[in-house]
Amino acid sequence: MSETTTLGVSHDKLGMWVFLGSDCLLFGALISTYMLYKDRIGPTDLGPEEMFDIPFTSVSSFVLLMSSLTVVLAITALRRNDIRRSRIWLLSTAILGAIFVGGQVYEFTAFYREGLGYTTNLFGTAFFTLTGFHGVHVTVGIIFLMSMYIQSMRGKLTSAQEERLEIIGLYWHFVDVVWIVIFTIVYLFPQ
Amino acid sequence: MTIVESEETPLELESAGGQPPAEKPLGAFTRPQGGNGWKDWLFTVDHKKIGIMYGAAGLLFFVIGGIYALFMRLQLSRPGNSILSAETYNQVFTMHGVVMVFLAAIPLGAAFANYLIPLQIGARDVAFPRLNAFSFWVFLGGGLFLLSSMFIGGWWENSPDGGWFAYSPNTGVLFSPSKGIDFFAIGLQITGIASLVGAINLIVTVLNMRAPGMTLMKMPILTWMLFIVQMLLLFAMPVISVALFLLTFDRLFGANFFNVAEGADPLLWQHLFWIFGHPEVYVLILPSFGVISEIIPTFSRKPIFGYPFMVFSGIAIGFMGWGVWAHHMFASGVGPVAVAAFSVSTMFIAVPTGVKILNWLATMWGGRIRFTTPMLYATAVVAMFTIGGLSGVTHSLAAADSQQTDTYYIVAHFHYVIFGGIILGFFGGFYFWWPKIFGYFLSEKIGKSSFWVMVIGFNLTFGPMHILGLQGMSRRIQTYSSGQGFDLWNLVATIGAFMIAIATAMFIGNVIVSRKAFKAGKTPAPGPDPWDARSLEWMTASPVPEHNFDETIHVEKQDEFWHRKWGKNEEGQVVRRATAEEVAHDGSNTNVHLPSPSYWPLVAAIGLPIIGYGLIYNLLLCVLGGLFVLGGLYGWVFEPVDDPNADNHDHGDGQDSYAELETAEVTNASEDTTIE
Amino acid sequence: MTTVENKEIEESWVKQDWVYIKTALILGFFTAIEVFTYFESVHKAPEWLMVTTLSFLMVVKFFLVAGVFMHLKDDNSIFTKMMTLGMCIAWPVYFIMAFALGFLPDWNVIIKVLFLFLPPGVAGFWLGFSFKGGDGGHH
Ligand code: HEM
Ligand SMILES: [Cu+2]
Repeated sequence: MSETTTLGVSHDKLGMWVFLGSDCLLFGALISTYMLYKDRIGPTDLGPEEMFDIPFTSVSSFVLLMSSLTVVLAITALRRNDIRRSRIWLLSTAILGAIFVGGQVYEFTAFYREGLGYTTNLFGTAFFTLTGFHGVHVTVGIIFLMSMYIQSMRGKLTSAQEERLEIIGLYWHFVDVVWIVIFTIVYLFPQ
Repeated sequence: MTIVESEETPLELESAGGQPPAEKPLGAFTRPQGGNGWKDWLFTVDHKKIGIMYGAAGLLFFVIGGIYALFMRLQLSRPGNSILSAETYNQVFTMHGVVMVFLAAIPLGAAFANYLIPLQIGARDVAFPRLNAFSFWVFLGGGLFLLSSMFIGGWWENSPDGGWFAYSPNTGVLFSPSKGIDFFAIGLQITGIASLVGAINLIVTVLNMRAPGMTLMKMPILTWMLFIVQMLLLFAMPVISVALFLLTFDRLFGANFFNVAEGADPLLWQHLFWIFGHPEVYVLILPSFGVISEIIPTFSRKPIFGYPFMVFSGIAIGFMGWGVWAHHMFASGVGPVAVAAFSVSTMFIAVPTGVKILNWLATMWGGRIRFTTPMLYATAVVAMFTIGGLSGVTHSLAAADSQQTDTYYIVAHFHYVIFGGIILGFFGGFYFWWPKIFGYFLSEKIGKSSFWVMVIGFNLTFGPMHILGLQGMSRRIQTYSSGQGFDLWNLVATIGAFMIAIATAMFIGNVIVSRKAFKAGKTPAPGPDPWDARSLEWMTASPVPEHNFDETIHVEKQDEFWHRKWGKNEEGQVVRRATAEEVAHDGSNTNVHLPSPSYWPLVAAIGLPIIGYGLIYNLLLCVLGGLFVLGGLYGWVFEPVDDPNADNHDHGDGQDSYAELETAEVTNASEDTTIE
Repeated sequence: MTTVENKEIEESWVKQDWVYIKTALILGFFTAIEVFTYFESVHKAPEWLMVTTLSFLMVVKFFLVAGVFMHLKDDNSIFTKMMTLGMCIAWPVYFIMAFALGFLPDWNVIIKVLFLFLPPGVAGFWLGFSFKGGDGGHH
């Protein structure tokens, strides 16, 4: 049987898109839960308005946004078999992602010090759960990227494997898109 | 533009596609050899073996769930019985529901999907064979994990007791202090992963692996329905995942998502659960609809009536199924607007369902019907499902439902749709495809008698529950006092339940007896096409050879196989053009490239239940489980594409399905198109 | 390949990279506007204006990333369809849940209904009309 596919796209890429479609529902449920609970705080607790440090989060949002650029640059570089550049862009993407996750860890500890623990009130519980799930997605993405980087160092990432990187790129962009939504709805909307 | 599949999974790091398997990478990573015996099953990536395993596991769980049911019926057979205590009764009905829905009905549907989708679309296998194996092992692990709650920490000490829909706040630590709900939440989370991964796999398979000419509107109805099921699973699983995560976090980490004392809204759980739950009931029923849509045309000797209506009503059910969930919450206080809206939407969803029923009737109308065992089951599905659908419509009226909800009337409704609609359909499917899958007929004699025992038993069990419910007997009570008019009908229901058990035993007996008879040469071999059927799975030998088809099938018509056997003569009469044996492949082509078996799906899957135990008992176990998962994935990624020593029939003659293609060339081709 | 062709390809690559960089710049610019709305002076703006502006920017950013970076714009339409399907289900379902749980802001009913059905409706029509049973066969 010949191996051309019915739709002319690869199974892997289609599979990733199918998965991303389903992930919409996951984050939808988490965001809804957060919206339901964001105002449910104790009389003396600090609410979202007081907790959020918008300038700080803006910077880390910007960092994540730019990592979407670096990953496409890595892909185009790989496509034209410019291994060296693709490697650089790959590493910078992973680093930008790590900065984002680091920022999140910093944010979480800052909140904790200000008195908002995971179980302090429903706002905290829902907030940490939503952003935590997103953070886990980013971390998984970083692992993907680093594995590609290691493959590249071993000389096993050439333009022949371009699609594999592209698929990881799709995942990465999706995580970025989710953050665009979270940033607007959770942080920026008037509380 | 043509891109070629390079390897199964996007997680793949090794440049497996394209290059010939490099010098044995990292020593240990060879692939298991295809062989015989149990190893062959453990490490298989063949969709047919995996389908059979799904079926076997589903039947096993069906029997286990049935045993729970028998205990409940024994307890309720007389007023004031004390076989089960109230606590145990809670646990038993919870486990019955969970096992039947998640561990029996879903996997039995998955069994048909795995075995038949690739065959019906003329494909070699599913899109990601190793992921397919992974799904199965994850499902099995999750199921056993759930059942182990019965034994761990004492007999029936830690069984879930919140009902299959586990309403909060009853599931909080406060009201359910045993570890039962933890087992429930984590176990279903694990089986959910299996369903999600399986759904992605099968969706890609249907979209991307159809035989040339097999357009979407030429696919058999069964494939269509199973495809819609996978779509529903794809989008419904994340919702229940989130709900279960929140519940798990509540119980393990002290979060308060469902803790009313902290101001939480218990309706959040109900919404999330039923947003998943109603699509889920269509996940359960649509495979059976598909099965009987294959059986009825075959035994009526007519094409399915109104093929496009069948397809589009299926799609309509798939969409509308997302807009009716709050009909389970009419009595929960969701507000008048929501109640009115969901009442109306629920009435509407009966329409596409009715379309299907009419189409089946019209298919049989004027046909030359052969009442074989599969056909008996299929007609029973049409009748029984209609009853269940009608009682469903009666509780779409919110006013009426406030009387019916939480009574035995509801139990009657969903058993008519689930048992009468799903389980009967699946038994019909077993009798229909058994010769194809195992190469011998099941005895018609035992089949027909067990059919009658089952259908009569079923109606005796659940028919009276309509009356009991309307008389006011509430569901989920462990006993009742006499003098309320409940006694007689409860006894009848219990008798019926045992008849169902006998019928199930007769089916299992049938398998054993028929197999023996065939081995002894007393029954004839079925040949490729014992029923004069219509779709592609009958166009290859029985049992299906490992490589499915000998050559690519070029599809021109819906019911392609039938049209190759039959045609019209000059007078416009339907006449036979060729025998099935002439048309069907005999399975003699050994040049088809097969994917090698693999250890790693099993290894990675074992990790998940271990993580589950770890979350409940000791976090160290989580580390161990994590190592299994990571190790499994690592091995998965680094194992060679093929074991060079394995007998995978690879003769490199252009018949190959997997991996051997020139990826480099292909990437060049795709560059040209993406860059402009 | 001849060197001339090589050169052309190289130029198209540079162009492609430029498209990405420009997109990123636009995205950055929009983010800057978003953050700007936060600061006190603007914060006094009426709530509906804030929500509308921010939602608009969010949607534009969403489409830019999905369309350009994930190349939905010129990739096979099946990918867009899968994503749209997910969004088409998620959007109304979660809004109805929000409505039933009572945490939707109290806007006018008409706005609520439009908000609920317009986006998935439009997308749904597109999905419906682009469905053809005839996309089988090998390419
Ligand atoms: C004609 C189509 C159907 C309609 C109008 C309908 C309607 C309903 C309604 C309104 C309820 C809620 C009753 C209550 O709890 O007060 C209900 C319950 C239920 N339905 Fe259906 N239904 C239909 C088909 C199905 C099908 C096809 C299945 C499964 C395959 C199914 C399975 C269930 C289950 C499991 C419950 C009970 C859930 C529980 O409380 O444990 N229904 N149905
Ligand atoms: Cu329902």
